[in-house]
Amino acid sequence: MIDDIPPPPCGHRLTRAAPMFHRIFPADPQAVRQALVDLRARFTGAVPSDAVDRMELAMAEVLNNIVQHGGAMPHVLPVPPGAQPPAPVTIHLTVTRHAGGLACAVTDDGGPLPLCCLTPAQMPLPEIAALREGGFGWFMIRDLTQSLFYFRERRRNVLCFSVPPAEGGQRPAGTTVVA
Amino acid sequence: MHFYTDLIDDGVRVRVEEPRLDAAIAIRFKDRLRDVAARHGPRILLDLTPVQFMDSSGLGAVLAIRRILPEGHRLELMGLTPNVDRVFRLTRMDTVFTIHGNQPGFPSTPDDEADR
Repeated sequence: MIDDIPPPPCGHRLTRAAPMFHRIFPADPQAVRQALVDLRARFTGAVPSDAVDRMELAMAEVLNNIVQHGGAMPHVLPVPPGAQPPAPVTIHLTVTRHAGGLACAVTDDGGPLPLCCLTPAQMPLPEIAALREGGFGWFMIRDLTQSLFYFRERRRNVLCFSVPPAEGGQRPAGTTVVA
Repeated sequence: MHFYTDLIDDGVRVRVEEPRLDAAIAIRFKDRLRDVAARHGPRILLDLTPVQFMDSSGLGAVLAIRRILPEGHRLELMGLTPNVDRVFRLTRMDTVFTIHGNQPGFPSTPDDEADR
């Protein structure tokens, strides 16, 4: 695991006071949990705590999605005997602080993200939604983020978004998808 | 996965002693809570006071328990910290549960909906 990149030793710092958070880690729940804990620690005190909270939740949902749908999750779905195990997926995560909040970029080498995830859909009535297995993650991601942007570059998924400094900021109409 | 249970008048209070209810723990949480719900009732009061972070996996586990409750049982929540409350609000799942405030004197005041 490559840990956070330290700030450059001199020059070219421009106006950014805090270095970016950058980490490369395997797509498994424990590594995701540790990345989120460290991500929170990095930005606590640097940005409003409410923004850190919203970023942590949005990031958790994005990362969980990669773990669940992007490739291997052997402790949940054991590979049948004789079958080829799915290739392990690696996540690259970068978060920087900027005037508009927190800018986040997540890339992974798992399977393509189903585009339906990014299409705004109406949440079913709560009583109906409560009977479903899932589907909440992308609703929350869309609620918590701005400028959500996805594209597939060769064998990698690239997902970028920002988390505004205050809740309920101006929200663009939809998600930008570059096919 | 740590939690402890207290018998209360009409069921059981389950206090989840975990700071994070996330994908790393959701399946174990669901399995343990399902066992408790099968043995006690009719009221299962889930106390989430120590939980500082919950994602949709944690929410999914709570909803899974709600779906498979024995006939006549009910699942209620208490002690939602701000980040946990946010997940229930964003998904509108706050409308399908009875949610109590965080009451130190529990269970002397069993019904404090007004405190929320």
